[in-house]
Amino acid sequence: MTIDQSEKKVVGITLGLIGLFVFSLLYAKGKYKTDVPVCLPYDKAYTEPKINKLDEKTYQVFSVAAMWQFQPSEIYIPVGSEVDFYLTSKDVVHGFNIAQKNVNMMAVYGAINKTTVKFDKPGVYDIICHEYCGIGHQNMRAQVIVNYPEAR
Amino acid sequence: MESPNEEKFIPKGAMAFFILLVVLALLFWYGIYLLMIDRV
Amino acid sequence: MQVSKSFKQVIFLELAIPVALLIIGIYHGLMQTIYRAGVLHQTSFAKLDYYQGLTLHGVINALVLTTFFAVAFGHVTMAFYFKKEPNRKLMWLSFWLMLSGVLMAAWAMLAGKASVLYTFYPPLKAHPLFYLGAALLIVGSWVPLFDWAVMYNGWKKENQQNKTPLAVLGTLINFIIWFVCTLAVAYEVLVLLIPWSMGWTDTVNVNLARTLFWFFGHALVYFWLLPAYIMFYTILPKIAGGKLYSDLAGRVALFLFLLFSIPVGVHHQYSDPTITQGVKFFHGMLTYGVAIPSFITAFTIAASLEYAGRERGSKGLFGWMVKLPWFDESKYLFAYFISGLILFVFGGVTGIINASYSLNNVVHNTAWMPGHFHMTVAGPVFLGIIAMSLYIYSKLSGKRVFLPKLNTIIPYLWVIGMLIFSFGMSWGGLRGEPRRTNLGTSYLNPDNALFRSDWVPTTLLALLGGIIMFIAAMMFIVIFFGTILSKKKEEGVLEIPVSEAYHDEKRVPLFDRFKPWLVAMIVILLLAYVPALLNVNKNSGPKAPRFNIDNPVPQVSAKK
Repeated sequence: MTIDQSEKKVVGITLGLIGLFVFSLLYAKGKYKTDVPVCLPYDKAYTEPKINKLDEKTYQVFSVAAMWQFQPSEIYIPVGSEVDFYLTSKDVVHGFNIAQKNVNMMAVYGAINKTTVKFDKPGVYDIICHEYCGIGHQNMRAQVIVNYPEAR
Repeated sequence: MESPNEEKFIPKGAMAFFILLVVLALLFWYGIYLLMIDRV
Repeated sequence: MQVSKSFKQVIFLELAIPVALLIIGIYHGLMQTIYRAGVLHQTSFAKLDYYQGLTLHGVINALVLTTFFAVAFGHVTMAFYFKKEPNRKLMWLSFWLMLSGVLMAAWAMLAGKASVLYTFYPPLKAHPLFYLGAALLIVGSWVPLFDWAVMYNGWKKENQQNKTPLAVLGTLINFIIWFVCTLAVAYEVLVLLIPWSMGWTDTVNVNLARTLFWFFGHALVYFWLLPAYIMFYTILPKIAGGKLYSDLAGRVALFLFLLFSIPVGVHHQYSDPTITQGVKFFHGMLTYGVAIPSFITAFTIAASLEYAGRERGSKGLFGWMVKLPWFDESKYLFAYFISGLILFVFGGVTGIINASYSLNNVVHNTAWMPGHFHMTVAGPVFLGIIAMSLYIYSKLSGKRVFLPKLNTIIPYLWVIGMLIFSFGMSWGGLRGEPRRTNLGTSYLNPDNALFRSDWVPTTLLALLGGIIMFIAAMMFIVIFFGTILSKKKEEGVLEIPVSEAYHDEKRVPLFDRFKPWLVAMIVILLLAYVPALLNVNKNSGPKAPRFNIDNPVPQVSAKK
């Protein structure tokens, strides 16, 4: 079977490109811990909204999405803290997006999602619902307030 | 001027286009990659 | 080729009905850009609410138009290459099943009882007729594959040493992919959703429903794309005045799609719970695999066009790009196809970004996502569909294209509009702008506490692009219906341009038979999806009750 020389080169270059991307993703995962959300088995402990302070710089937020709000809706965090967000839904599928921090999770009934973020810079971070969830969807937003005096 | 099917046609222009396509992919991809790292 | 009246009628209906529905589908595309830019700060306009319109937009443009066309184009391709019409009864059965489904779903959507978007994620509940309509549309589209398989086997008996024509191979592979992937969504709809929406069951496992949907949902985009690829490989080179650079490259690409179109669905669920990072990463790698045939295609089509350009006397490395029939009204298919290819450069590149595992966190469910997929499904797929619909209809009816000069400009106007639209959407998405959201009532309302001034320029760009595309699409509607209403000028025939290959490689049995590839496809599918389904089963908790779009309180009785 004769495969044309140019076509062979094309496949080779494509594989090289893919290799570069895979390497870069693994490198970022190792160095910066960039990853998709963590998988947890269902546990109804996460279905009650909560903010747990584990120590000065470590927090847990049990976020519960419902039509059409996130609870808790205002989360105050000291700057430099690491926060574990646990997420579930009381009803339909919602989104949970903190754009400036790579936080992007789906809130699903009967499931628990989790991600970890470090808030190095003060400011107000919007948590936006980005999955259609009924007539109130466009009003569904919460905020993480990191050492931002004006917002208090 | 001989037409391409009388001498062997080597698609140099298409290969050049393909390389540019790969360069575009690299630019866009690493743009988002660096944005992701910046937001960590 | 001469064809029967029955053939012409069913093809006409399968092409024209979706194009007519496009009037509604594209109207609401424009409306979304108007709402999102904050030109309107309301939940509905002209009796259609935003999310109702969004559902109509997705269902009409991405499910009805694409499925009807794939079936019609498949019939046309099989008939033309085998010089034999498909079974008349089965052609009509398929049509009536699909049309019934569309009518049911259309009623539900227009009545406001199915504002659930084309992905219909539970536990947001639609009227049972919406789901039933979807199921009928799908089942109707299964029928042709079985008839074509019989036609193919008949042809093979007489042609054991001949290569299967590339267009035929593409059609069969496309519908095999479709049949396999729709099994999952048919199960979701018939077993999980309809009984639940009718009140026969009380709860549904949302995680399972999503996973089944996306088993279907990624392969869906290849079901859309492969007819366009068939056009690029087998029609475009001829129209451009050249030859297909390599016939074998096309076959390799098609078989790679057969392997990798379906086992990648979890890349739409990177943000989901219940599925482990390992399974998500595996699907990400397989998705890189499915990018390979598209890169092969990009090069092969470029080489074919370079050949065409050089045939016309072009010089230098890129001169061939200029010497192509860009504005030749007698070769208008070129304009539509090349416009689709230009958009697909950006659509494909952004797709690779979306597939790239952790990079997905930056873009998932933001406006970037529709920015991406309008450069694919509303790029080469849409332009290929409307162009070939016009072409097939005009040939079958013996009518000339209405306003041929205007016709040639439409795709370029579409490209300009789309690039502006997608740039606005992509930029907005990177700024956190969500998709599937009526921004006008809140985020783009200056009087609202949620107002985001940084989304003003991005939504305005999308609006500008949307207006330009709307104009181009309405021009096409005028041309299409103008052609229908014009007088017959010659005998109606079934005719498709067929490209010769420059490298017309000898038949390679491996790339001309299905069995080994089907086996490999199933093995990869099992490797990709058994772990995913086990994950879902292990990590899922309670199942969900029914929720209507306007009420946080679940619906417990069996009211519709």
